[in-house]
Formats: sequence, structure tokens, C-alpha cells
Amino acid sequence: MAELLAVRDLGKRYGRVVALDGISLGIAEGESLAVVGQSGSGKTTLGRLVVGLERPTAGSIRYRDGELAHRSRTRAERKAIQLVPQDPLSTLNPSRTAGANVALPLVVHGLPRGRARLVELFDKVDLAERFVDRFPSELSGGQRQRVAIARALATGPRLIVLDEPTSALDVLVQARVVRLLERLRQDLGIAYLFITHDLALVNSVANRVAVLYRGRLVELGPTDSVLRKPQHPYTRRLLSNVAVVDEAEERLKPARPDDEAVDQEFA
Amino acid sequence: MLNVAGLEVVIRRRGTTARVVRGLDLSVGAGQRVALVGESGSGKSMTARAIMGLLPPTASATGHVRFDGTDLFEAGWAGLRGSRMTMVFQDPMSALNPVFRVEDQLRAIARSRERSRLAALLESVAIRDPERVLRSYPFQLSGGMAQRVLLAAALVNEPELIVADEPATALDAEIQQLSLELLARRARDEGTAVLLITHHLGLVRAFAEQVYVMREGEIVERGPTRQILRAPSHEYTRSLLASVPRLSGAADG
Amino acid sequence: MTRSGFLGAVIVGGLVLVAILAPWLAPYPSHAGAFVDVDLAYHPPNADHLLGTDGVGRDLLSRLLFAYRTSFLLACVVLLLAVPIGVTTGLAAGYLGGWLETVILRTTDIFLAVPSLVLAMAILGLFDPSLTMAMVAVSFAWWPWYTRLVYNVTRSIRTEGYVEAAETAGAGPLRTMFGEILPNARGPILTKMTLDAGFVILMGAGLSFLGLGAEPPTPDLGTMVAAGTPLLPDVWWPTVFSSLGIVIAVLGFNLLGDGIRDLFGADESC
Repeated sequence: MAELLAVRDLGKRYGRVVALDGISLGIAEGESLAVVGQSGSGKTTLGRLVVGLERPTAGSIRYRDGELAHRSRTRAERKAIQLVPQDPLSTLNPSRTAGANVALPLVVHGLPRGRARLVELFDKVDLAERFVDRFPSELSGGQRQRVAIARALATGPRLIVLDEPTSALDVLVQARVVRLLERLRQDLGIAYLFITHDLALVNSVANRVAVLYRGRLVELGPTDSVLRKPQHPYTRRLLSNVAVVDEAEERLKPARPDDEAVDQEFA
Repeated sequence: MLNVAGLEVVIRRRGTTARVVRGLDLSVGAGQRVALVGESGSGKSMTARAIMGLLPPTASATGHVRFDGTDLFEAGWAGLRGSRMTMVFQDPMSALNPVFRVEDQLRAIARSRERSRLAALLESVAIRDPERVLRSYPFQLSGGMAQRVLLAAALVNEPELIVADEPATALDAEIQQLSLELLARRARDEGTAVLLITHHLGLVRAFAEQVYVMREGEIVERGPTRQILRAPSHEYTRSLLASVPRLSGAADG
Repeated sequence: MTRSGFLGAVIVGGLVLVAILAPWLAPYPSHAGAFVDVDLAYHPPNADHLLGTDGVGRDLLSRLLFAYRTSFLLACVVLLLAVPIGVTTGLAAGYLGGWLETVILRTTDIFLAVPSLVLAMAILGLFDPSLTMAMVAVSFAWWPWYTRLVYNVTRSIRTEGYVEAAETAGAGPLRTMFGEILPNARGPILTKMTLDAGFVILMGAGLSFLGLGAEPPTPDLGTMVAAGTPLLPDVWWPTVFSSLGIVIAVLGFNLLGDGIRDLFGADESC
């Protein structure tokens, strides 16, 4: 499959703090790559660099044939890479209706934004037409995330960066949103950069997994092999912390590294 | 230690009333680890708040909440809440007051105010350099540290009951696990009763001996955790179970 | 809305109506101007003149009603000048950052270091005092407060998911600032505007009390207080009633402002 996005030796510093250091990875057309790590691992920074909210201090980001890292993006590039932010409480502008939130990228890019188009986008995320006129405060967390996904779909993107799209949701709602995302990916051929702290989730959402630890890429591979044969001790520790529901799953978890080592990470 | 019988919570909002908890019975014995599981909107958080006497002004509760034999709806929470019964909240950062040092916040609620005891308490929640943390303001702490400080605040007066409302859910699996381990140790070593409020059955399995499954204000299933997870009898429990992400394959809830 | 907020709305609404309808409500509309009838001077409150008369025999109630016109004109003009300037600079400093942020914030620091009344007086000292100049001077002292308010709100909103989503979608700085951020700052801005209307009225009265504001015979609360004070305590009614007029206006706006704050606060928690 053709490479859609390629990141090479990507680095980001904030003053003396190194948030990302020498990250290289690629995402193919229609592929879902999960980026896993704890808070402070740099996973959110990576997402922000890819969507262009910030510029890297080192390395390159290539989208198709264009180098994005150190210049403003073209309209076409902006349309192609979209974001679904994390917190369902702040993902939508509370002073606009759900429909007006979804219409924003259409307005910005001068695309058709009639009611029919909005209804079509809402339909893609399984929301009925009546939700178009609701305000975010009238929606549940899961519904808000669906609206945020509809907004990301509005410009017909090729890559969506999903920043912990389900981490604030209940497991039942999370499962539904995850299935919706998977269906959209298959129907529309969009690639995902799926940022999450929950290693258990990657099986449901990604073909490949990148594990970040303190700004560095420590492991990258197909989901199945990373989960079953984790190479890096940090990946093993993440796995050991997954809360599972039965014995068979428990046996898939590696032994937990000793508490001393765990404690050190927090210091 | 804690006995809830026939608890009803009603919320009035914009002229309508909603029964969010409907005739709930639940008990947690000394040293017991009990989980109350359900989705948001199931009434589990309102149950926790009713137990602690922290319902919002638009809500009212009837029924009985007995703590160590005392009916709290009659006797009130004075002298109990914050000392003999405490709560751990969802978001560590918003539960700590940003303008006071950790030490001052702990002192403000602690019965014993010796610095050495506060330091020992922080050590007991796996904080390695308690002196530095005591001197810190909340914003100087990482999320994991803040969560541990919050746990310490809940433990400082050696309560007999701790209600933990989804501790650190959206943060980090490791901090979450650690919080639960510390609570479990407390239950085992000090005989503290712990009620965990969560939506995640994986956490229930890792933590609780007894589980109550709550839906739309009612308990739909209850029993020993192992038994319920192995052979859930209610459809809702099964769907909750199925929606937990699997290491071995996609969830199908 | 809370009960006290509702009371504030009633007071403010009442005063606005009174100001608009003054020519029809006032028992002696001509007394608003340069009317003189020495025979009527310093009459205490009576059936013909409910609040008494002033030193040249003008009906105090009529003048008070007209004085609210002056006060509201002042409040409206000051807010219409100060708020747009403050909002624009606050948004720019909070959202765009960089050297612009430094320049704007340091400038407001200079303004905020001096009490508003003193600053306004200093400006007025350079010109011939008049109502128009007073409005300009007060606005000049007032905008930095809005800059600060909007700056702080902007800083807290600009990392919200919907702002970043708008940026990702390709929205430019102007659209993001005025379309995405500003609508969510309207609660604090409206609250401050309402509270400030009261303070601007108070400050305008203070300036004219000192002879730096509205000139006679324009009816003005501050000038009326000033005219009455030398005659205290025997001729008490001009001072007491015009002061009460100020107090009621400031109280009304404060209650309403608190009510609006509660209204928006409650909205956000839902």
C-alpha cells in the first residue's frame, strides 16, 4: 500500500524540555496506526505536529509528496488531515449547535454546507437529523464524539488524528464509537492516527502499534505481535497494567515489572 | 460498616423530576472491597454522593444510609465525613486547591498535624520523596502524583469507609491500578471498607470481592465478583462485559 | 435568574424607562434646563415638589429624572468605546501571543497601575472639561480592564478541543478569535459590562462632582450632589436625593451583574 504520511526523525522541544525525540514512522492509505503511551510520553505532541497545530523543531513530516514540517499548509493539505480532539466536554463549541459545529470546516473551505449536506454527515456517524439543531450541552458524551467525528469527515480527509477519542467514555459507549470508526475506515478508506493510553483498545482499533516512552519510539509493529510478544520492557509494563475481565486474557499479560521500577517512572 | 436500604434519589430540573436511584440496597462490611458498576447516567455517582451527603441542591434522597449503625439521613454527617468516611474523586487536579501547598491542604483536614506523620502517610501511598511533595503546589505535581496526594488526603484520618468514584479513569492505566492497589492494601491491613464506583468491569475484577451492577437507578445483578464475571445472569452485565476491550481480539459490545 | 438578579433587572429596567420617558414623566420638564424662579428656591419636599427644589427653584424630581439620561448616555458611550477596544486587544494578546502579547499586556499594566478616576482626571486636566471629554477620558481609563478579562478568558479557551479543531480545519486567526473564542467569552464580558455600567455612572458623577464633567445647566447626579453639599445639614434634600439616585443605579447594576454571572455559571455546569 502507498505511504500516505511519513514522519522522519521528528523532534519537538519546548525550551529545554524535549517532548519528542527522533520519531520515525509511516502510515499507509487506509491504515490505522495506534500511538500508545502514558501521559507525558509525547503521544499528544506527535498528533499536534501531524495536524499542524504546532511545528516540529527537528525532522520532517511528508504527506504524499509534500514536506509539511516547516511551512504553512495548503488548503488541500488542511482538508486532507483532520483532528478529533479528546475531551467530549470541550470538543464542540458550546455556543453553536451541533450542526453549526460540523459546518465550520465547510464554511472555511467554501464547500456546500446546506442542510442536506449536514444531515448526510450526521447520518454517516449514525446520528438522526434532529441532532443537527441540538446544542452540545444537550448531547451525551458519545453523541458529542460522533459530532466531532462528523466534523472531521466534512472536508473528505485522507487521515484523521484521533486524540484519545474514547478515553472519557464508558466502556459500552466506547465500544460503539470504536465500531463506528472501524466501519468508517473501511467504507471511506481513511487512515487513522489513533492516540490512546489504553493498550487494551488497540486490538479493536489499529493494524499497527507505535509505543512512545518519554518522547521516544520504543516499539513499532503489527498489533498482534506487539500485544503477544512485546519486545520492550515498557510495552510489557503497559500490558501488565491492562484491566482484563477473564482468566484467558489474564494469561496474555506479561508479568508485572517490580514496583521499584514502576515508581521510578513517576518520580 | 455501611448499609444502604431502600435508597431513592430524585433530581428536579427545569420543572421535571427524575428518579435516578430507585430503591437501592447495598452493604459494605469492614475490610470489604465492593464495586458498584454501571454506565454514566445509571445513578452510581448519585448513590455515592447520597452516601457521603454530597448531593447537589437539586437532588433529594430518601431511604436509609447507615454508617456503623447510625442513620445518616437522620443524624447527619457531622464528625463523620472527612474523618471516619472519606471520598476519592474522579479528577485529581480539580479536587486539589491550586493555591495551597500540599502540606497545608493535608494539615487543614488532618486530626494529627505532625509533619513526620504526614510524610509517613505520603510514603504509604508510594510517594518516594514526601518532603518535596509536601512543599509543592498541585500544579507542580504530575497527574499520578496528584492522584496519590488525593488518596493520601482520603486516608489521612484513617477512615473506616472510603468511597472511590472512578479514581483517575481517563488518565492512565498505571495510576489507576496503583490507586486501586493502595486502596486494597488499606482494606486488607487496616480493615477499611472500600466502595469503588466504576464503569469498567476489568477494574472490578482486579479489585472487588463483591459487585453490584446498576442500571437506570436499579441494581440488576449482585454477587461475588468471580461468579458474576464468569457467569453473568443479566443481559446488561453481559453487554458491559462484552464491551471491555480485549487483548485477544476486538470487543463486540 | 436569582431573586436578587431579578430585582437588579427591575431596577435597571425601571431607570432606563425613566430616562427615556423623562420629558413625559417629569412634573416640570422645563426645569431640566436653565430655569430660574428664585421664589421657589430651597423649598423642602412638598406636594408640588415631591423631592423639594434647588437653589434656583428647580424641581429636584424633574432634574433627577433627566440626570439619569446623562448617566446612561455616559455609561453607553464609555462601554461602546472601551469594550470593543478591550475585546480586540484581549483576543489578539491571548490568541496570537508573541511580541503583540507583550506589548498589549505591558500597555495595560501602565494603565492599570493608576486608579481609573485619577487617570481620567489627569486626562481631563489637559482639556476643557465637558461631558464629551469626560466620556472619552473614562473610556480611556476603562478599556484595559476588558483587555485583561478577555485575555484571561482567551488563554483558557484557546486550547479547548473545538478551537484546535477549527484551526485544524483551516480557520484563520480572525475567524477563530471572533467566531470560536469570543462567543464563549460572552458570559464574563456581559457580567463585567453590567457591573461596570454602575461604576461608570459612579465615576461620571464623581468627575462632575469635582467640576470635571457635565456642565450646568445639564442635569447630572454628580453636579447635583456638589451643588447641595455646602448647604448641609439644613438644606439636606438636594444632596440626599441625588446621592440616593446614584446609589440606586449602582445597586441595580450590581445586582443585575451578579444575576447574569449566576445565569452563565449555571449554564456551563449543565
